[in-house]
Formats: sequence, structure tokens, C-alpha cells
Amino acid sequence: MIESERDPQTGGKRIVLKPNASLTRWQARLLLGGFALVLASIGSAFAFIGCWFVLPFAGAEWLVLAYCFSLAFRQSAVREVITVTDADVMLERGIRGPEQTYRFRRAWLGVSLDGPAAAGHPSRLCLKRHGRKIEIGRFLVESEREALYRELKKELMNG
Amino acid sequence: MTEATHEEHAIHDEHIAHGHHDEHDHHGPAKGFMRWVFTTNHKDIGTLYLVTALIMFMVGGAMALVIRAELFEPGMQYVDPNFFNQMTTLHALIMVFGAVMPAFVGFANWMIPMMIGAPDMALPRMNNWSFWILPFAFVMLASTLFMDGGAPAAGWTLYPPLVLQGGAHLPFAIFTVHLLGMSSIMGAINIIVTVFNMRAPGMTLMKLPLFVWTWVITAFLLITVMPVFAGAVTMLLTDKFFGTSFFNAAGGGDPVLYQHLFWFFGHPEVYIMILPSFGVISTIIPTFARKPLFGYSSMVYATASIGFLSFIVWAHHQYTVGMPLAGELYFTYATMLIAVPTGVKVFNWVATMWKGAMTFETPMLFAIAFVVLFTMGGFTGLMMSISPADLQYHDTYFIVAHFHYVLVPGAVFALFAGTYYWLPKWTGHMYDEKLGKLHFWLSTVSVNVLFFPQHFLGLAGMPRRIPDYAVQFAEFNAMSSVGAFIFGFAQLIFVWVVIKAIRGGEKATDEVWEGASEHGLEWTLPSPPPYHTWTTAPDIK
Repeated sequence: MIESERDPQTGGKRIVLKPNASLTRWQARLLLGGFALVLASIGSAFAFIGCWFVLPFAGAEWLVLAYCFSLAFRQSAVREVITVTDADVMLERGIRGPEQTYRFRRAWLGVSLDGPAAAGHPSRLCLKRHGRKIEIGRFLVESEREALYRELKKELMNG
Repeated sequence: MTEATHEEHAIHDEHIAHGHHDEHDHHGPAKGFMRWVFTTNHKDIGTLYLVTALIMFMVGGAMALVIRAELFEPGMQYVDPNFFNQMTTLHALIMVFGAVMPAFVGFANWMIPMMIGAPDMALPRMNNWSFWILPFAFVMLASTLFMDGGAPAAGWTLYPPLVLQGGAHLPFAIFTVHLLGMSSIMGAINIIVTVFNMRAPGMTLMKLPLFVWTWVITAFLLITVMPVFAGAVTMLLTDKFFGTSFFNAAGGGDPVLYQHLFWFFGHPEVYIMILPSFGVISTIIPTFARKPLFGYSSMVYATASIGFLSFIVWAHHQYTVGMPLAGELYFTYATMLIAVPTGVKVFNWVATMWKGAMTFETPMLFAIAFVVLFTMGGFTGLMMSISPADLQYHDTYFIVAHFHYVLVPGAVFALFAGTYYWLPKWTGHMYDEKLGKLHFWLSTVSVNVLFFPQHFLGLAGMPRRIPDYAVQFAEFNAMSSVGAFIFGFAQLIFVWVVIKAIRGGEKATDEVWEGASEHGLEWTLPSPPPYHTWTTAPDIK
């Protein structure tokens, strides 16, 4: 998904790229809570009649489930933020915060959309400078990548 | 946060632009054998599951033929009673955990990402693990055949105290069960995370294909019941080796307690094998009836109801242990209640076919046979839900006939139907329709010759799990065995049809079946689909 906004004071543009995730954190917590309730009820009921071995298995299983959800969320929590100002373009990339930051002089920066390497493979959207490229928006769908290419090209040419 | 200088960027840029793309980005499959060992691609893993399931189906089927050969006529001919019981036990364990379940997991791996517009499963490495546990588990289970005292011979239920009196197999069998459980749980978690978090934009839950819905509910069932089974078999282990007395009456334990634990798992397990079949059939019938599925949302609610009810009826497997009358009444009524949502499903399938422009390609033939024969299995289940009647049927061949009608022309026919339906999509080649129809007719006729007489054997009082029987049961047993051998050999046609389609043949179009793309996203992809499925999320209408 692409969200872009213009800073009314500086006139700069901020574009946030994020992968598709169909589950919100709140929904995931609800789901995990539901599982916890069901597994704890079954495990406790069997423990109550003497079969306490069920409970640790149920607990271990819930932990694995919660870990898997957190892994999936980590994958879908990656963000790329492109900030275009009069002089510079900044690319920040990370999960909890910007873990990688790149700053480019706007005048020297271009953008390219390379076709797929093979049929059925994704295209590659890159920021390019002095013949070197850095890929952005790998998690976007094709139409979003094309839209972002057009938006960035327009933005950089207007500078 | 790292702030790098411009020169550092240049190095970093190059590294990212030309260096380490993970295998999911721009590359096709690796070459050679190691591709299959390390693959994290959902289609590769689906194929591995399906091939393993087919091999296990043949192994478990060969064991069934040993059983039916011995039962062809009265008296002991080919095997001793202990080996006969090992065959009945391993046949069941292999068919349930090695053939039917992995085959549906194979379908799920292949189809779910394609159906929901996801690029792959949510946790691909775990997906690889959940598959590769399986072959090792089955080698371990098969190895018990060569141990002192042989393989487990206490039935697939592994009831104590009988199972505790066996030879060296117990820890191996239990470790196998734990491994299979781990594999199932990891598969179920992967499906839940994938379906909930990786649906294409616009794909709401009520737009999910029925096959995906049935798998989500199946995954919930798996996650809920597996710890109970794991706990039960671990307690068997501690009873045998660590001096506990959970199920040992002499130490204050209760063998019936094991039955409660087992069937709390075992009854939903039946639905774990049958719900994905409902999904496959609900996908195939609308395609060949050229109509949308009748009552989509009622199908979703009916499936969820069946899933819920499967948890509260377990003791109908235990009417004969001596249950209070109130308990028998409760379990009778609760069990009969399952007929309601199941009836809704059957009604909806028939209503979908009603006045449809139907054609009868092999997948549709298997789907129609499923509806008719599964309904018969359901009706005999209804008969057994009535506790006073069940006292007569219990542990007779009537039970064997009932659950085989549910699982063979039920689950296995749905697997055949699904394979014929999606095989052109998977391989890019049409299968041989003539051979497919031959496979269908031979299977359908023989499966009835095999299992229908067993109803009469059961009603006449022939007990199950015995290698010898009274002469009065000879004719129906002979008939049943003839049916078994025809059914068994008919499956070789299926194997050949699959191999033939993999090797080549008429090219399949993307849509394969007329109008299929109205019924599922998978038909908008090329046949075979590209190695990386949805690099661009599809438009959901």
C-alpha cells in the first residue's frame, strides 16, 4: 500500500510504503485470546479429572501459535518511507523504526522501473544514482509499483 | 538508526541492488534433488505432500489387501492372528495420518495461496519442516514391524491395557504419533496465519472460497484437539515406563479415561478428514453445474456448526462402557444434531446441480459419487447415534462398513475428484479422460462391492478385527474381498493417469474448465502456474 502526503510548510513529499496485511493487531490479539481461552478450558478440564499432561501440551502449542503470528506480523510490519524535499531525497527502511537510512542529492537521483527478469516475476522499482541502484517497494503489488514509479518520476522532475 | 555517508551509500546501494535477493524474489526453482529437500515454495511442498500421501495410500492399501486376502474364506490361511491385528492397526494409522490427512494438506499447500491471492504460505520454512517430519515418522512406524513383538496391534485407538502389553513398539509408535501431531499442528498454524494475514486486498472472509473456509475450520479443530491426543499417548508412555497409573486400574487409574481422551481427539479427527472434502466438492459441483454454489453463507455456517458439534459428541464411541442414562441421552441427541448442518450441505449441493447445465467429466463423476455414497455413510452414522441400537452394532462389521463409506467414497473420492479437477492446473497438461472415467467406474462399482456387504455381516453379528469367522459369513466376506482387490488394482490406473499427465499430453488452458474462472482465482493463473504465484495481488470483485 502507498500513502503519500505533502508537507504544507516545506512543500516536501512523504511517501510511506507498506505490504498488504489482512489482519490487524487487534484482530490477531482477539484470535490468540480465543485460542488461549479454548485451549486453557480444555487443558484445565482434563487436568481437573487427573489428566494434567494435556495442559502443558496445550500451553506449548499456544506459545508456538503466538510466535508464528508475531513472525508473520514482523514480516508485514516492514515500512519504507521516502521523503522528497527541495534538495534531498531520504529513504528510510525498517520495522520498529528506521533501521536503514539513505540520503541522496535530489538533482542526481533518478528512478527506474525494470521489467520482470522472467515471465510471472515481479518488476523492479529502483532509485538510481551514478549507475547504481537501490530497490524499493519489493512488497508492493505490480499496479502499486507502477503508480509509485509515475509519482516519483513526476516529483523528481519537478524539482 | 544508521546514518551513512554518500560514499557508504554507494557501496550499500550496490549490495542491495545486485546482491542478496532471497530465493522468493527473482529465481525459479533450484535444480536437482536438493530442490525438494530445502524448498520453501508452497507448490513444491504441496507436491511433496501429495506424492507422499499417494505412496502411503498404496502402502496402507496393500495392508488392507492382506486383511481382505485372509478374510476371503473362513479359517487361517496366510497370516497369524497377531500379524493380522498389526495389519489392521497400521492400515488405519497409515490411511488416516499418512494418506488422507497429508493429501488434504497437499491440496491446502497448492491451492490456498492461489485461491486467496497470496504469494506463498505465511511461514514457508516451517512449511518445509512440517512436511519433512512426515517421512521420518512413517519410517519409524514401519520399523516397528521388525521389532520384538511386532508393530502395535491394539487398533488405531491404542486402547490400554492391551497396547501396554505389546512388545518393544510402544515408545516408537508414541514418538511417531507425537511427530505426526507436530507436523499437523505446524501445518494448521501455517494455514491459519496465511488465511488471516495474507488475503489479497478486498478478499473479505465471506468471499473466501469454500475450500479455504473448510480448511480454516479444520485447522481450528486440529489446533484444539492435538494437545489432548499428545497428552493421552504421553500418559500411556509414563504408565508403561515410569510407574504412573493414569489408566492402570490396579494402581487406581481408569482405562475408560483414556477412551474419553482419545475420542475427544478422535471424533473431531473424523471431521478433520471430511471437512476439506466438503470444500473440494463445493468447488467442483458449481463448476460442472455451471451455476454459483447454492447458499454459500449457509455452507460456511453449516461447516462451522459441524466443527463445533464434533467436540461435544465424542462419547457416542463409548456407549458400551456403561454410561449413565442421562449421558447416553445427551450424546444420542447431540450426535443426531450433526445430521442437520450435514443435511444443509447435501441439500445445497443438490440444489446447485438442480437445473444446472451439467457435464460429467471425471471430477464431477467423483463429486456426484461422493454426495450419494457419503450420504449413505452419514445415514448409517445416524443409525449408530441411537445408543440402544448402537449396543447391537458396536464392534461389528456394520461399524467398519459405516466409517469406510464415510472415508473411502467420502474423503478418498473427494481427493480423486480434487486431483482430476486441479491436475491440469498443476501440471499444465490435461489428464486422459477415458482412463479417468475407467478409474471412476471401476472404483465406484468395486467400492460398493467391497463395503456394502459388510453392513449385512455386521447386522448378522460378525465382529470386527478378527482373522477368522464362522462359515455363515463366508459369502459376503468373499464378495467383499473380491471388491477390495478390484478397488486396489483400479488405483493403479489413477497412478498411471497422474504420471501420464505429469509427463505431457494435451496442453491445458488457463481456465481449463468452461467458466471455471468465475469460481476461483486459481483459474486466472497460467497452467501450470508460475513458480512464484501472485507477484501481483489479484483484483477481487
